[in-house]
Amino acid sequence: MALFNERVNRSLDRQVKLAVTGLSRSGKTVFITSLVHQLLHGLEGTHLPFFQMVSGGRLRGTKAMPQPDMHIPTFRYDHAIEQLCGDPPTWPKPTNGISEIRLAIRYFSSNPLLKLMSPINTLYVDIIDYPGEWLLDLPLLELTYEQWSEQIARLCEVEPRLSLSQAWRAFLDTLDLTSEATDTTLRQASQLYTDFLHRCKESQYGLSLLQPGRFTMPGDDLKGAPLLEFCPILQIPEELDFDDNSLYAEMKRRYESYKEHVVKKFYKEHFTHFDRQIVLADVLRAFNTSYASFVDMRDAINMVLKSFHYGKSGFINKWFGLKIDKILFAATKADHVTPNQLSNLEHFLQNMLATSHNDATFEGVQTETLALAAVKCTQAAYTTFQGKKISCIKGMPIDGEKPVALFPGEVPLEVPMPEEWVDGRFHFMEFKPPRLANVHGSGLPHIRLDRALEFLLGDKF
Amino acid sequence: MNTETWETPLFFELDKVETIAEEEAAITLDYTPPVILPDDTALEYETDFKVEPLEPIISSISPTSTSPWLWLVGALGLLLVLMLLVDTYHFIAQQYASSFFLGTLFLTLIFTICGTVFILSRQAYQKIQILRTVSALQKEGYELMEKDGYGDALRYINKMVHFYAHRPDVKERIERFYITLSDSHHDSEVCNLFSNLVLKEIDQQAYHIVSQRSKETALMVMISQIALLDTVLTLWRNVRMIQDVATLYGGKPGLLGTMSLISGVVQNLIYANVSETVADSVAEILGGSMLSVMSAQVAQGLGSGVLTARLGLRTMQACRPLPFLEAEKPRLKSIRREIVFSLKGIFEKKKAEV
Repeated sequence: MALFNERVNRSLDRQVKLAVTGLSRSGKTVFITSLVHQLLHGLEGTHLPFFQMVSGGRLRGTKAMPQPDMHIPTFRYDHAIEQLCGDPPTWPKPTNGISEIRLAIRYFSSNPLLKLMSPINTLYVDIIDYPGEWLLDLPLLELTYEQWSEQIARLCEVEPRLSLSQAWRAFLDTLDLTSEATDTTLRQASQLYTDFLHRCKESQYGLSLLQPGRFTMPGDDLKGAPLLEFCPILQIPEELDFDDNSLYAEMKRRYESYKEHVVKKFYKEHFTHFDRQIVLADVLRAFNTSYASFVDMRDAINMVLKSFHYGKSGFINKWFGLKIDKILFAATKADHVTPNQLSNLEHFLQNMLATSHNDATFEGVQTETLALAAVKCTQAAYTTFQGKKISCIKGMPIDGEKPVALFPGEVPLEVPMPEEWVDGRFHFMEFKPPRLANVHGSGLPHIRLDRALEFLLGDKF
Repeated sequence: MNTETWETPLFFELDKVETIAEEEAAITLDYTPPVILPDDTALEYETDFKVEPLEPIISSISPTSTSPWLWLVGALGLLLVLMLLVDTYHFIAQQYASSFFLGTLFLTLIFTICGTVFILSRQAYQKIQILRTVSALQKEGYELMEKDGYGDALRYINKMVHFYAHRPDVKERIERFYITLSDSHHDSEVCNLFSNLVLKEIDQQAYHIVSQRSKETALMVMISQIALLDTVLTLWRNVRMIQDVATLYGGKPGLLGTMSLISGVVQNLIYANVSETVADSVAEILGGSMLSVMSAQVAQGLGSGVLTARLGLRTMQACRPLPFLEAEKPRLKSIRREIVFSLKGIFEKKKAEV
């Protein structure tokens, strides 16, 4: 009898694969850490009021389980939470490799029919963490070497890329593409290109559309591989019958094998079979930097989202591979603005990702936009400034020892004109994680993470 | 169109051209700049959510119509009161003239009557005032939930909390609500939370009362043979139900209060959402048809039961200080099913006995 019950339970168990999508430094690791922490502490406290399964008292407990893919490292939730809650608390280090975590959520069923058959069910949630840089490789799958080179060349025609790519472009100009490929020239070209990408990534430029992703974040297995020694070319030669040993042919071959062995492998192993997706975007960082950085981020995200499969995951689709049927667009670091600006932030993000939003709803995918903070590190406050009562936030700045209170500026509802992107308009400061006493007893403070969970997983319980 | 066309291109002075303002992407450097506050600025937080003393709520009901009928009624009333006063004065004086004892007795009696009337009317007025407060609160709550604002909800919730301050069972849930609240919650989220954590249980209790009373009405109407008795029974049960529901939600309506509540609820019923009513009625007709074939009396019982239930649900909507969200609105469907089941049960039992 017990065995039979077990069988019934197993057959009714369900599984969700959650895609956490976001460019580098958009807060994927912190989001996953906080999500795991909130669910692990779902029974204690009242921190998830809008996640109905938990607030309705139907949660029986959550456990981190060994993931099904044994060859992928486990997501080190314990390390991340240790850093977040250390003294002094720090943000987790940037991710440099792929890792996975599986959560088993056990809950009391609310469906009257299921209640009779198996009152207690388990939902398995699989989440993958990976460097955001690698996401930008996905669009490469659809581009030939020539198309990609042309795209990069066009990007390099305008500032700030124009001046940043100076050294690399000068080197390319001296090269004869028909000449025989040598390791030194290839290495030097790719080194200069990689340097250019690294400079673009620096915080004062804050550019996101940096391809190929492995150049800036090679990962442990690829460091120094010849696969990574190529670069796009600026002028595509007219006649295309090149010698097989020519520089051009060699570059092209390496690009194709990069696509084949790195991108396709990554995509096939980890990016198919998703059910739900959350797209994290750090809009505020773009505000702080420049209009160019904003445009870059917008294009990068829209480009990446094109490479996912969307559509209703109906019965038939389940046989042919799952499709994403719900997407949440999330503006992260919502605690860096005053609470009354949250709706502006949501509105702005919706505006920014209008193309992707449209593509998704066209396929019948349910979408929502939310401003959220996975770990809330500021406190909302009021103060009187020049005779007016204004809303402000208080927190510990990332490079300071004393807390500051500030009104970081208004989030515009729509994208401002490039000329409006003046110095001093936005001052969205970075903050340290909060110092918390009772971290291991209850959930981390957050903004609207419960609503995100309700949207992403709520209907599965 | 009377604009002339030219064959050659023409250029105009820029400042002499009128443009349509919205068409142009204007650059407006109109924004609130970031402010880094000095270290010694005093900050206020909303972390310790406390119940603040209640501010008087100004009710916006002040009819200032000057119809001649009002004048007439006013004058007649004044005349009556004056006559009564003069008459009483003469009566008392007469009694005093005959005997000091009798005079004092009548005077005390009259004072007692006046005092009681005064106290009663004040109580009734207060109770009506509470009902008015509820409708004012509902309006405010509706506005808060409609627009996505921030920072106004707590003041509103505090007003509502005063409604339930004297009830220990609700108090516990209110405390839980204040713990759950965070400083980043928007107004609509705060209202949603309050509704979920505090009012949901009251809703369930009220729903239980309504379904209980409807079943009772249905049964009584089915059993009784006299039409007049039906009416009286239904009325009695309905008034009881309305009073119970209103008490549950915090207002304790007296007789006058109940009257005004009933008139409000009935008005609401009349002007109710037509589609809702139609949907309910259709279900009623279809669902009840099997029963009505069996017995006209069962159908009568079902009809008055459903009417009571509908009245009860409207009362819930009228008495709840926070308006219902669309998803939370109590539905007639399940009550109707319960009534049908209870009637059917009796009917089948009867049949089995026969």
